[in-house]
Amino acid sequence: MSAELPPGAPAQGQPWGELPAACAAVDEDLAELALGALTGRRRVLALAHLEQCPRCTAVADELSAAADQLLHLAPEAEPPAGFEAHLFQRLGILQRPTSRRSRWSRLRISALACAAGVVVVLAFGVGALVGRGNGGSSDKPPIQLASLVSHGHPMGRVYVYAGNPTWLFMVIYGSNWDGTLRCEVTLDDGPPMVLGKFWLSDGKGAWSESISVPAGRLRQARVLDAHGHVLATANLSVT
Amino acid sequence: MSDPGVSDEALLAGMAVGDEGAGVAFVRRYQRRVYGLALSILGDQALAYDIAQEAFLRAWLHAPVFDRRRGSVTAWLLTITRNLSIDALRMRRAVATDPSDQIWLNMVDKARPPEDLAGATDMRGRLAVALASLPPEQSRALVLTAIYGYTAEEVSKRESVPIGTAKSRVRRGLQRLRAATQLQGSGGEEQLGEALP
Repeated sequence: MSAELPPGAPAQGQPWGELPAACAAVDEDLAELALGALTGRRRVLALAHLEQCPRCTAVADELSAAADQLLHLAPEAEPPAGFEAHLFQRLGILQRPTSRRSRWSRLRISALACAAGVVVVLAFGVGALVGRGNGGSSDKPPIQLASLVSHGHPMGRVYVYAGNPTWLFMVIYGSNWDGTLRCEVTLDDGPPMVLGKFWLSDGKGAWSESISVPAGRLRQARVLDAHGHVLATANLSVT
Repeated sequence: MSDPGVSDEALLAGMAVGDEGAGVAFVRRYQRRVYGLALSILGDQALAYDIAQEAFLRAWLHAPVFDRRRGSVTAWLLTITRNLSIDALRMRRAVATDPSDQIWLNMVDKARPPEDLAGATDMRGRLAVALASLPPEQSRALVLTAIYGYTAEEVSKRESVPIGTAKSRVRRGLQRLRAATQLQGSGGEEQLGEALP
């Protein structure tokens, strides 16, 4: 923010000459005030003076603008997984995330299904391997891999990311199902929790959803058809 | 990814009336910067996570009273983040925190310019150059106050200088930073040496 200088003010960078006594009393505090580091009585006095002094207000605004600029120097950093979903939940925003971490959501996939599976395997399988490679000392949440089975035949895989929140990723690549299916999980107690619907094309698809309960409470992931018949299950047990 | 065509002010105005789409876009636009700032101040991922979450919650809560005449949305949001981080840092400082090994003081170390800013020509790059151009005692005092929330009294103790000297260093550092970035922004790099006292 670049403040407009008051009438009679000197040009940028030029001295104001001798300060009036009232200005001199707060002048040395203006930088701290601009940086939010001035506290107590000195802060009260400085703010009261600014209310009636355009000269000091202009100086404080210039210093504040410089202070604001400093914050732009901070390097950007990717928040941990689950940050966005957790925040949306706290904000009461019901829209499901569709960003990089949830781009799998409700994908209508045919040819992409295999690629999706590969990416999920790479992203999370490698993460799990890295965790194991550290002798289990990694502070990253564990990732559980389970086979999705239908009548004894593997139809896909389920990955459970035991973060905050929990995420479930499902990849189906070997089924003869098409159209809209439903996914639910059973817990250590209580009724099954419906996670949502997803779409398969040519028997393939990938899908994900965040779950509001800890991964340790999950027992089984189920795929159901439109009539509620269980088509496939995956046994889950995050340790 | 948020729509880059929508201004920050428009997103904030949407948040002010409870527009969830605006909230989603706002979070996605700023989460890396907010979390990055908190992490660079705190040096603790878990704490930075909590602070970044809180910063967005406050932005959502206070969006209706944002006054663009007082500055940009970016500065407003980053200031919220900074203030929350400093509060957290102050609570933790009694235990042990030495900013000298943290990223911000690397910014003022001319021997180790931040790698990601080497050769940068945008505002961040200009700021980094400007900060590195300050006398070390000024840039150190400035970073301690602006980023880590030190009062002038705390700077004076840490740097073993009179409090008047600490205040002066912070003030002059800010003024020179402002002057330097304005000159660079207007293509007046060659005037820097003359402008800086």
